[in-house]
Amino acid sequence: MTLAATNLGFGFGRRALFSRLALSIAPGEIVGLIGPPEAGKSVLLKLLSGLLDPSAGEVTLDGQSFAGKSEAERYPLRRHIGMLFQNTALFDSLTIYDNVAFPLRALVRMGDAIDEGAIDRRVKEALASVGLIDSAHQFPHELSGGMKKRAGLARATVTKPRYCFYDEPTAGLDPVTSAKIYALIRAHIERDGAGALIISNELDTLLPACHRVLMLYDGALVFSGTPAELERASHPAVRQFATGANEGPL
Amino acid sequence: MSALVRRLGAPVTSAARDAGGMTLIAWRALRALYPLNIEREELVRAMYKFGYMSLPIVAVTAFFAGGIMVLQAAMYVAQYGAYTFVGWAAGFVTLREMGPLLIGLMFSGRVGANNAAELATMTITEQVDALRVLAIDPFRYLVVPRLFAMIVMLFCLTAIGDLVAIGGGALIARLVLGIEFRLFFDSVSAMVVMGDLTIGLVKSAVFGLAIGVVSSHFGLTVKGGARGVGHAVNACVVGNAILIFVVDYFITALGT
Repeated sequence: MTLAATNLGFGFGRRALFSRLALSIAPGEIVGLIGPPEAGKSVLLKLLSGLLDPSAGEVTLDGQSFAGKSEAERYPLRRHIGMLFQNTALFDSLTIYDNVAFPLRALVRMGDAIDEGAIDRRVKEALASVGLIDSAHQFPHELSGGMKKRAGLARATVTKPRYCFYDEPTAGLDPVTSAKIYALIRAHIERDGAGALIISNELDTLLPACHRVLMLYDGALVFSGTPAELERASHPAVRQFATGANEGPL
Repeated sequence: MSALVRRLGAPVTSAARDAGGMTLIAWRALRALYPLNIEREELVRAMYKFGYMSLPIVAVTAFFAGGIMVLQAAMYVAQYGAYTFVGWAAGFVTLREMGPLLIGLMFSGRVGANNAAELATMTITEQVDALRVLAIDPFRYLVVPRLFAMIVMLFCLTAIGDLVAIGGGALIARLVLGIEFRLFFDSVSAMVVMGDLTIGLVKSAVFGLAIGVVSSHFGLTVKGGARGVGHAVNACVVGNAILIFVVDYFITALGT
């Protein structure tokens, strides 16, 4: 029961972004993904969720591949994925309550038997868990950046997905709010036993939350190890990234 | 040499890409008709926003358009004493041409541009990707209801706008030329035929389809940030204006 990418390749036009990438995420595992800007971290997240098609290789979710499937055929796989987008991607026209209820209503469209009472209960639980129950009837533009991130977290996890992807969950947030966001992510992973992939370059907050760290650089995963192993990495780019040194290949 | 060819050919490939994208949107929207597969809640929301909210602006435009037509004709009507033809002329021109064309252009500016901007913003802020992650087909959820709402509401707005324009014409005819309302409307009912109304309403429905297809295409294929949104809206407004006139020409040619 894992999410796995094998021999993954992707590029824009003739420019190859990366090739022969391999990674896996097990249930209950929190994996951090770091790397310099434009390394392709967000693209990798979209490949893993079947939003983009790789030029080579495949992504499998519990043994089932996205490859060769139409958009509609991918929906049954995507229902096991929750995603917090970099800009939260909350729907502007919906209230926070309706944003969080949206994934549950999407499951109803797919044939799940969830009545409005159950949706209401689960939405309120999700909003309470991120401390936004009093903001349920506000619209996204009425919330602060941190509140939007928390609302995005609630929406990403309200269906209790088996895998969750977080794209820069704490970008632009103050240290206290960042710590709260990571506490929420950890709580969700522990509660639901989901696997998580977190993109972030804020190592101070990311590393304590992760079981494993990957670094994407120059089209390849140049590091895979525990947070403790990161600073001892032999690859010069990894070492420079981890220590924040001025000198180095980055 | 190859760089020069690429540069010269870029507008052609871009136009071909846009034409292909728009054809695909129209085809997929048609496929949603059988079996009928439209998000009702989104359809009602779009009909309210596109139709009901456009009513005041359409009514004002139509009223003055009707008045302008009579004002333009006033000098010659008085000169030749052609008072019995004023109602017919206003009705004929309004129903066949000015009503659908002016209201179509207003609708394009208000609703088409708004739709392109909204879809473009949703695309660049990853809201469209968020729908896909949540196993919702963005085309079915966002495009199909809006497109059908535009067809239906432009049809209805044109019908209402026609009435208001003729009413405006009648009022100005009364005030400027002293033509009695009864004489004006007798002229309309005696000389304007059902075909005049039908061709105008057919035009409005096709304009609605064109506006929906063009605005959705440019909204969903946006690239870049705020600049991309601006470009999408600009391309949508220009594309719609051109398409409305081209479509109008061919329907008029077929209908005469």
